[in-house]
Amino acid sequence: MTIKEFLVELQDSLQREDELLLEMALRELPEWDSLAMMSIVVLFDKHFGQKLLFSDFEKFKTVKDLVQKAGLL
Amino acid sequence: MICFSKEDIFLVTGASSGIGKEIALRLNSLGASVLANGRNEERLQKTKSMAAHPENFFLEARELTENIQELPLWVKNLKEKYGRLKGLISCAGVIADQPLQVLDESTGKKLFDVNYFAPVFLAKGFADRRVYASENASITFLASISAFLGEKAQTFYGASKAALIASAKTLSHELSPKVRVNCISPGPIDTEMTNRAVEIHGHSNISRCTLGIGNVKDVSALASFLVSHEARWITGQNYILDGGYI
Repeated sequence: MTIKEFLVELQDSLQREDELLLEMALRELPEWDSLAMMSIVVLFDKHFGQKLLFSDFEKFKTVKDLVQKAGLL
Repeated sequence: MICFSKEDIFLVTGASSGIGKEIALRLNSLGASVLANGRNEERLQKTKSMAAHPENFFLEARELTENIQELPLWVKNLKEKYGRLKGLISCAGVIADQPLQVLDESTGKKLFDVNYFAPVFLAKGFADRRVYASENASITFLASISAFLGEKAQTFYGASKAALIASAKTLSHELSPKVRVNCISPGPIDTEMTNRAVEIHGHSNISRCTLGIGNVKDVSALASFLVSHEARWITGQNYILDGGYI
């Protein structure tokens, strides 16, 4: 999966109209809530075989942090 | 008085017959735009010929179980075509009367595809933030009193409707406050589907309806209320509409 493909997947999981940019702060996204986090947990499990915990999200500040966690950057 | 504008767009499945057809026609007569879904374009045309505002009655034939995983995308494409959707009213359903001794796995799976999985994946498409209308969006599932009755030969049918009611409750929590989610559980209604069942089993059970057998209009009246602004504080509920059957 490329970074671009990941961003599209993420955008779709968040049901977001606008494109996501690497520098965007996760907690400032209007779509950000506990269901968004659960959706990202599912996304990581499905595509990268990674089991994220909610506590992991404390470390994720921006979209870029998720891309790095996915091992794409 | 409940009324809608043509900007209020409702997707109604099962709109070529019975309850779905009546709900589609009533919403349209109250001013709403209706996207009528059914398997057969010809039968949908028949429904449209009865519409009060045919210019706001659009036909979207599709076999809902053909590719269930793709249903959310289909709903999203409907939004691109018509605009944001105000409501999803899921009426498409099938009955299977099978006593345990002849219970058949493939029938059961097909039944769950139509009665449970398709409605849930339609809801997934509808509940996408990019699809539903900003004001008073709602999902209404047609369930059945069979979900609770434990009637003979309804092992799969009753379970599929009970599953739908349970999921509706979950969705009502997940989607609140943006989208309201409710179920209607009718008892015996005078439709082709019920009549076929009555032919097989005789009329004995119908007499349990103290108000007599129901009419499709009884269901469409409740459905149009549940999707209206009048019901803006109602979510996560399942309405039993059975003329005193239970």
